[in-house]
Amino acid sequence: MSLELLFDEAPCGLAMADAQGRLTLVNRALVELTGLTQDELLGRRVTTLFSLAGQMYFETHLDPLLRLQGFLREIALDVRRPDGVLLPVLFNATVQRDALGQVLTRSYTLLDARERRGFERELIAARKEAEAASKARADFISYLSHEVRTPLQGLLGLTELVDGAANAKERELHLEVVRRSAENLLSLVNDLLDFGKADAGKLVLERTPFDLPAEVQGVLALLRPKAARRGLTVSCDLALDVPTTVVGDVVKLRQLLMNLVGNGLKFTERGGVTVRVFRGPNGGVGFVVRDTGIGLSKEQLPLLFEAITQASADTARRFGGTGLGLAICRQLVELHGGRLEVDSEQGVGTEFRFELPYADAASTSPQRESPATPGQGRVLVAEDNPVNALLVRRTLERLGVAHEVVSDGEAAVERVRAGGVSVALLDLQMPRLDGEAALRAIRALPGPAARTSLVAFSATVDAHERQALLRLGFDECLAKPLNEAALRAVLRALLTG
Amino acid sequence: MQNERVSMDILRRNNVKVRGSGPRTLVFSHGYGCDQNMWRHVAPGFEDTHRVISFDHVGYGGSDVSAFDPKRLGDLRGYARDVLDVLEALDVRDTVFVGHSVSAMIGLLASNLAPERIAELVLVCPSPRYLDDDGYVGGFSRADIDGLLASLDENYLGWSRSMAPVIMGNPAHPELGQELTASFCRTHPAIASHFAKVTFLSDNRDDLPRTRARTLVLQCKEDVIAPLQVGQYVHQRIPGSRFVLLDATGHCPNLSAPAEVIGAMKQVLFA
Repeated sequence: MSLELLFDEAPCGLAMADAQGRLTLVNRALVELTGLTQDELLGRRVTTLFSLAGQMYFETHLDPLLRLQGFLREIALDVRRPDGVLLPVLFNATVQRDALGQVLTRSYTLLDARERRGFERELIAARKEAEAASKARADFISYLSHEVRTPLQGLLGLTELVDGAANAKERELHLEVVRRSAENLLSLVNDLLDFGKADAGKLVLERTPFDLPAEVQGVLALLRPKAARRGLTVSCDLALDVPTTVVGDVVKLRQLLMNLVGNGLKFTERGGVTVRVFRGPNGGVGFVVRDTGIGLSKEQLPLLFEAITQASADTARRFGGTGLGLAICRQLVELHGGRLEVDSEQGVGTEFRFELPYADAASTSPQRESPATPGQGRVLVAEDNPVNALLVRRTLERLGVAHEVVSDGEAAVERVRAGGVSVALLDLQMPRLDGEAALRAIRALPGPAARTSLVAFSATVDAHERQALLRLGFDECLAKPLNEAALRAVLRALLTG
Repeated sequence: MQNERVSMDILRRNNVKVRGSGPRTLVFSHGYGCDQNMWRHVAPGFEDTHRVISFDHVGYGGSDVSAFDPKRLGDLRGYARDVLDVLEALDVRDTVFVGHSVSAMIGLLASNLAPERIAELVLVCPSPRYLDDDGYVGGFSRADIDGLLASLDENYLGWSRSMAPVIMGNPAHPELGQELTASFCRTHPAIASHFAKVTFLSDNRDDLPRTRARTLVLQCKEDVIAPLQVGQYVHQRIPGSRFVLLDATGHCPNLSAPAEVIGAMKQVLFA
């Protein structure tokens, strides 16, 4: 009597079956678990309780093993209830034999495994996610190798051209392109450092003022010689209402244009690529990159931005590169909160469109009391490294800005105290008084000298450091090596403010 | 010398066992999910009068797992070529090929590729196509196959645990020793998934009428993997084939009713 009670009250499904596997005895928990009545259960083969997939597994693996081994332990299966709901269970089975080895009966245990299976599935999902992440990383490395190789090849090729240049003017032209290529490479390496800090896909957007038309022209100038050799044109159409100095991430813009224009040229045999820059419908700056190339079919279009499908050996062989550039472009535009849109017609060409939310530097830079007007303001450069100092001096000369140079922080503070300095460029690492200490000393000066615009000048200015420097009280930051467009943009903002 | 070495490699690759002797040769081929142990109650019934060959498909039992090549074994024809390799290595002709479950179709394909090697076919619980199709009921949908693959995935640990020594509840007289159980459960999960796809997504309906072998179909009752109408379909599409409906239930009469299987085979084959 107590055994019967124990059987019926057990908290898991229990059953006995005859030699053929037909159920002869079932407990209350099994009735509840399966959603079938006791009468419906009796006489059934246990395998019919499971999902169809479970029955396949049972018949091909479990039943043979049970017959050969005599037992099964903790097999994950789904009971299929009459309403169609699948209930995860852990299944155990044992056969009982007579002295001759003939099967007499079988006993089954079914444990409700909803929670446990949930955890297991979470684990499996987590494993798959980790595998996908590792694949994304590998894709990125492939992309990066490709992107680094391209400007390096440019550098090597141009260096040869410099050697064979006919005259100084031609040499200068080549050197200019060498410089641009090197800058591009530097941007990429900076990006790589950025990626190293954050997880892939978590790039940070920099916000620095830069000269938009100059940057666009700069990228196009870099691509133009190669295009010209193939008889292709690269042209630019800048709308009049586009602001000259904008605040945004100039490195990402260069990457976008390099990739999109480069891509357009790759797939164009006749004609060329046009870049149109205009006031975007959402208040930012709109870009359209249009080529007169082979175009894409309707089937190809949706696959265009997929890193994997693009990165085929065939694409690489026919057009060079891994084809990952467009996938990165989409990421870059999405990072700006926009969408990279594409229209294409086979045999006619392809058009990429995107808008970047650049702020007009003139309207966002802090208003200053400084009486400085363009040309009238005086720039003080505090830099101890003579090479860097020379570079800054030459750049300022080209910009036609009045300036003077000191070589340590103390001298800088004294010069600002004396008056007449509109903007001071402070190297962060200087003897006697470093940039930060100089900043504090200047901000503590009596009178208007304390409000002199101060620009931090440092080798390592990323988005986080920039935030930290601005919090300290700098008005702007500039990264080394000095970029002329960036310096001009900063000075325009601070001198005309 | 070279040929001998190749033959040895093949016999090792498929863990080939040869027993008994007699003028004719029987070849026993196991189905999906198991190994040649599936025939351990049937094959001995013929060893007094026949030469009996059994083997494991690559990836199963005692086969050489390093010989697994998903491309070579990318469809059932690949497995059929493996069978013919074995028959060639042993230099046997006019055999009686006994194939259980998916091996029924593997044997049929082998007989079409090399009719001189296989004179008779015994198809135990065969199915030429597991998925339903227009006007054809195989019994399964693509979702069921995916469910099976998920079950394989989720039971990877459980399945390998089955072959670990289990102290609690280990019956006093396990029919199989630990060693044999280990062999039976040895399949690598990736190979199990591969063979599942090759098996359950196969369609060999049009290969049925091409065989020139004398064919016997053995059908079980209540077989969810190879239902009655599928067995009848196989019988109808192989001209001159014979059909025996066994009393055995389920999908593995070679384990559950070996005497009935032996009896049916002897009655029809050697009448």
